[in-house]
Amino acid sequence: MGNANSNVGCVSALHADAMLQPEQLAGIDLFAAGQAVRDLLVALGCDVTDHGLRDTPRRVAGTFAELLSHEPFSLTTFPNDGAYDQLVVIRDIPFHSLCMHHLLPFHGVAHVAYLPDARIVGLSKLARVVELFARELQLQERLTTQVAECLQRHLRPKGVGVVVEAEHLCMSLRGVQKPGTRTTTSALHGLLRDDARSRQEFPLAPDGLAPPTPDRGGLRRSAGDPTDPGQRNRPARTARPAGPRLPTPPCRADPRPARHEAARPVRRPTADTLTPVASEPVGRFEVSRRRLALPHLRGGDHDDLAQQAAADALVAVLAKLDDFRGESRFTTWAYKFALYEAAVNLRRRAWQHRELPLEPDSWPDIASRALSPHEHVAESELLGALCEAINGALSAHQREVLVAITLNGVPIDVLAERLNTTRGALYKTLHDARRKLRSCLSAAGLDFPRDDRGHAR
Amino acid sequence: MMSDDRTRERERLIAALLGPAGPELTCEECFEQLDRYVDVTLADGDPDRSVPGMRAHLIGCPACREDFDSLLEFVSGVDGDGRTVPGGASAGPASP
Repeated sequence: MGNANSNVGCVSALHADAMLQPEQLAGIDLFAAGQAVRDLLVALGCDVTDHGLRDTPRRVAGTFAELLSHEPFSLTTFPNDGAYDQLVVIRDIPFHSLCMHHLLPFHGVAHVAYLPDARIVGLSKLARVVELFARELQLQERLTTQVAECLQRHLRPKGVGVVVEAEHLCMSLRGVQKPGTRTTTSALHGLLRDDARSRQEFPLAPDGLAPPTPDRGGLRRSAGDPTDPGQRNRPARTARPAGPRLPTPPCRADPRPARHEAARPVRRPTADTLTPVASEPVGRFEVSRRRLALPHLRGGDHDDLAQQAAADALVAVLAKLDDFRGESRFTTWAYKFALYEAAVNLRRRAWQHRELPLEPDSWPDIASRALSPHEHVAESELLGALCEAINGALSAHQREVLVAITLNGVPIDVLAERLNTTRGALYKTLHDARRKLRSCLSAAGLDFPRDDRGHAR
Repeated sequence: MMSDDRTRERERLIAALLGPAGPELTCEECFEQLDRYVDVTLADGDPDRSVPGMRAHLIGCPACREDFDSLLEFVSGVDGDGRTVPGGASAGPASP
């Protein structure tokens, strides 16, 4: 964050450094995933009591969590002081991802190039952007487009080119079963799309193929049957003439349309639609809501934070664009991601140098905090019983989570990050703790609210 | 007045510790449905019928509640006290 802020403010929000983080981090519930794996094994006819399978659900859940998680990082950009005006190319960036249709891996290399304008970017960040978008359930086409659009939005170069070559295990191991087949996708923007001379400097761009499609500036091809000696012997990472196109791309062998495609609205939103949606107002709004939680920041810092929040929000919405199913207004849907991204980052910022009050000794005596001796006896009894149940019936972890979230106001996502778990898993812990408390009060014959009337909305 | 404040504090405390009584969504399900819930709320519909379990979760999860309040205010352009939200979406672009 510190490095990020040093560059923010001297440039527009789209150039601001962005703390990039995939959405999946907040959504993984290891416990629920383990249960689901266990259910899958049972449904597949496996004996989950077998010694070898006993710990498999936990291991599989952890594996998928690892494959779908990524460390956040800052997309640091710098002024192009040297006025460098030639192509910057990073080749052969290895990656692996998971096919969103079969949950099987696809892996290969990405080549990323850009033609600088006013800003340049740390070279390692190009590889990190590939990694960022690869660590989610993906389509190769979408991965390619997302990497290119992210760089276009944040760096504002004169041109961007991304070429991805990958082998899909869903095509190698099942279905058509053609191991060794590699699929190439590309996304070109700016001069790399429009100017043939610039494109020639990016030798991996598919110039020998059909011209890029006008809407996405990219295309997809498969380097067909590996039993074709012309293809098997060809060097893996050189520009190749057009290979035979497969009738169906590997991950689309299933004739049923993907869920998000089936329900896609007629007027599908585009990336350009989002420029006004996920922009500075979102950042300003969230920072404004949290001024009291960020007392150590000066006025100028608020503007920097607002710009950074806006940039993060834009990346978040772009990454989810294909998931819009038209179940709400598009603007509401887009603002949901934008505001969430801004809120998570600002909550993290507000707590970044603070101790989290978790220790049993530090949690307040809720009875004395809430009651005077002259007040209602029944409520005094209820709060006393609650204190007793918190101390006696809950596990140490349940007590920590309950106290931190409900009494000390620690945001659940901040707590999840510190405890190296997920928001979903922590909420399950909180839910279980509350159920125990209610059960203790019921067993003691105490009267307490048993419905949700009276709560707002 | 002091007594009223203490009563409210007690009620808030008990409600926070015990959480919602009814069945509730998870945080992930809540986020998935949040935009629909907000739109139905703003259209004066019946959001609790449209998204069962959402209301209970918003009672029980302060962070999700905060996200809901934030989205509702921003999309409606008006905060809980009826003030116009600076930069709010009410004057923003229409759906594509």
